[in-house]
Amino acid sequence: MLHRFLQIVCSGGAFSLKQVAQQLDVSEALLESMIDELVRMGYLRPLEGICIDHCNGCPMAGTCSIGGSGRVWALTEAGKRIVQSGAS
Amino acid sequence: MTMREGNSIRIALAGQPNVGKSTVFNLLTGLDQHVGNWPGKTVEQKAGTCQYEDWTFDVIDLPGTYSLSANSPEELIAREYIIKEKPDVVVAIVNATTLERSLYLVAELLPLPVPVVVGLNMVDVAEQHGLKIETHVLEAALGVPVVPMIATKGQGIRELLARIQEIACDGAKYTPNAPDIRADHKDILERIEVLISDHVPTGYPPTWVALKILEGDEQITEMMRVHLPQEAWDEIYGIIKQHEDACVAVASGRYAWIARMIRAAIVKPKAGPIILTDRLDRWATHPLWGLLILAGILGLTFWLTYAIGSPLQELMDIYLVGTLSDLATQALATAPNWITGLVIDGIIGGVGGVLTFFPILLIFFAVLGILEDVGYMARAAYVMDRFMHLMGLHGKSFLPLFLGFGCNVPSVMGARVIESERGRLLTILVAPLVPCAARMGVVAFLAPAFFDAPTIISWGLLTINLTVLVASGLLIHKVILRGEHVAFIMELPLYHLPNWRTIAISVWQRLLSFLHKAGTIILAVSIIIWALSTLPSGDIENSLMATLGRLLEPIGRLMGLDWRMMVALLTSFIAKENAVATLSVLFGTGGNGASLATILRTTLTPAAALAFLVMQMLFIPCVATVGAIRQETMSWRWTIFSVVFLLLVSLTGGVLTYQIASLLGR
Repeated sequence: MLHRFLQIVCSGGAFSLKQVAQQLDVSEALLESMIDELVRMGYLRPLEGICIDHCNGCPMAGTCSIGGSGRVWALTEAGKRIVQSGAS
Repeated sequence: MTMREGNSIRIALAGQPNVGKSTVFNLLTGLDQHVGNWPGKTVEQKAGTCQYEDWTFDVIDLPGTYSLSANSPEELIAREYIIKEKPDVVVAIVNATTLERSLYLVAELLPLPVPVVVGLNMVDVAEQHGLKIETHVLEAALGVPVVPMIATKGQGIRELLARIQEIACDGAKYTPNAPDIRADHKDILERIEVLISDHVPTGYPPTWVALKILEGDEQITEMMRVHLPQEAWDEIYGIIKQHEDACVAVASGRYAWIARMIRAAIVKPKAGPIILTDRLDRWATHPLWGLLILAGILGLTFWLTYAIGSPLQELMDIYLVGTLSDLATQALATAPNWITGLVIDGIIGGVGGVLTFFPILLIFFAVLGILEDVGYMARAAYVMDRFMHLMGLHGKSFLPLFLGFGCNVPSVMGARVIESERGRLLTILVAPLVPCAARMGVVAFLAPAFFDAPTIISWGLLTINLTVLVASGLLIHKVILRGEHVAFIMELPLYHLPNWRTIAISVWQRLLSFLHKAGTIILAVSIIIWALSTLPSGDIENSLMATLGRLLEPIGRLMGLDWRMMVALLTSFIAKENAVATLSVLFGTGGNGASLATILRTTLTPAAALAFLVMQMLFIPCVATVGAIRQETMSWRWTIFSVVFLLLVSLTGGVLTYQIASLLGR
């Protein structure tokens, strides 16, 4: 299940949690839990530090017009290796 | 499994943080509890006793843990206690509202050699959330007793104790349905189990140990390395090396198991707002409609900005700049000429001209703030990414680039999210092509000054910028990145009604930053421009600025622009708004009362005006962005490359626009 999820993420482009949850036939809450586990394992990386979370504490908050409310995670190099090892 | 002897039952309470475990512990033990530390650790240990019918329950509260991996001292304590001390029953308290998450710990507890009873806490809150959990189905699916509870009201405690006693006294009733490893890794799990079965220390179940080795659990792996003969260890080491994805296979098995449990036991009606979000997203995130909606919303944003902002801006021009000039003229009637010039042409003309942006920026930021607050911006980002991906742009680059609509500085800084050095560099190089709010503000001021249909012109300018950006991205993708892509997943938050306070705060912050800029950089540049355009003789045509500007005139001529327009472009390097401040000073609008818009329209041909706008939009970014580029690339070479690249792009854009527009205009 995690492997299929990583494969989906690896196939490129952006995906919404809802879309992927439907594809995997799991609830969004379970998908979030899976994401947390994959982050802990080091296969996904939350994109934070720019404006993905919130503007709080950001020195650019005053001039930046897009805060962005959605959280984003990217596949790490280790994550890519896992997908490739599964494919071979 | 052993039958109980005597009338005492030892139970361990396990659970993730925030599931109500402490409440259950307090309910069970009341005042009959004592607190100490786990042996050799600084983690608090709570223990106590309780009576139920003829039975005494010795309760130990395990530390709250999400799983039983060796991630933290708490997790190690919990699993070692269960394995080494072997309580009669482990009670897993799970939160009914976050069952998906809570069941992960249960998935880890079931392979251990101690029976588990699940306390399904907060069922009342779950029901309020519209979640209906069929307890008996969950019990059948898990193969372990499940007791619904509302610990805060003391409900379910007696039932919990009854089920614990039942399981503790009759182990035959306990038939757990533990998760399996993903099917394609079953053979290696079995092989490891065979290799270790004669060597695992007492109390450790071989299957669990084999799973932990495949998971990459350092503590268990090291323990087995010490206990195993060399040959067996070498073989296991080889298996681990060969199956880097084994840890994913183990966790996958658990998640597939949780998904089965959830599907079986939860009846979840869809809530209203989710249905609305779904309906809206069917359009807003559609590959084609999503793009058209985004284009429409951007168009509407500009239209609103002009329809409301431009008349207000004209009013400010008349009342603020005009009145201030009149007042200053009267007040400075007896002052020396140079002071009158400095105040009226330099300060009021320059800063005042820029301050008239205020209504335009107010509306622009308010609309963006609303779009952001209702949750649309995440969709816009999502749609843009897919579009950019089609165009071959680095998948992850869209994020920092999107920030660029606000300001190019965070856009350049945001490129840090890209791991690949080349990807990061190239994102930084194209980031200044995203028109920032300041640049759009200049366009919002100048487009209505030059043309009767400013919305279409602004639209066109935005399209040109994005096209140039995409073309550069394509080139970069094909030539330098060679098709590399980085994938990601994003959460699309629910749509909701805007919170006006949040929007007001964000608009205010942005306007404050604009006013700060107007009072500092723009004021300083206005004064310098005025001084350079006055010195040495007081005649603008023979001023230092004119001399400098005339050096640029041969280039300007290719676009039908005179030296004043070229100087305006040049000063926009300090801050984009300076383009307007400089034009105001150089065309002397502070003094004669004629608005800059009127003067510009009579001075420039439409082709030259269009060329100026194109060049202004594609021009090198402001000095703050160039500073950010230097900081992020840590290279002067790349910083200079970026400046030269954008200079060439903007020059080509300006010249082509002028030449084509002149041809079409004939």
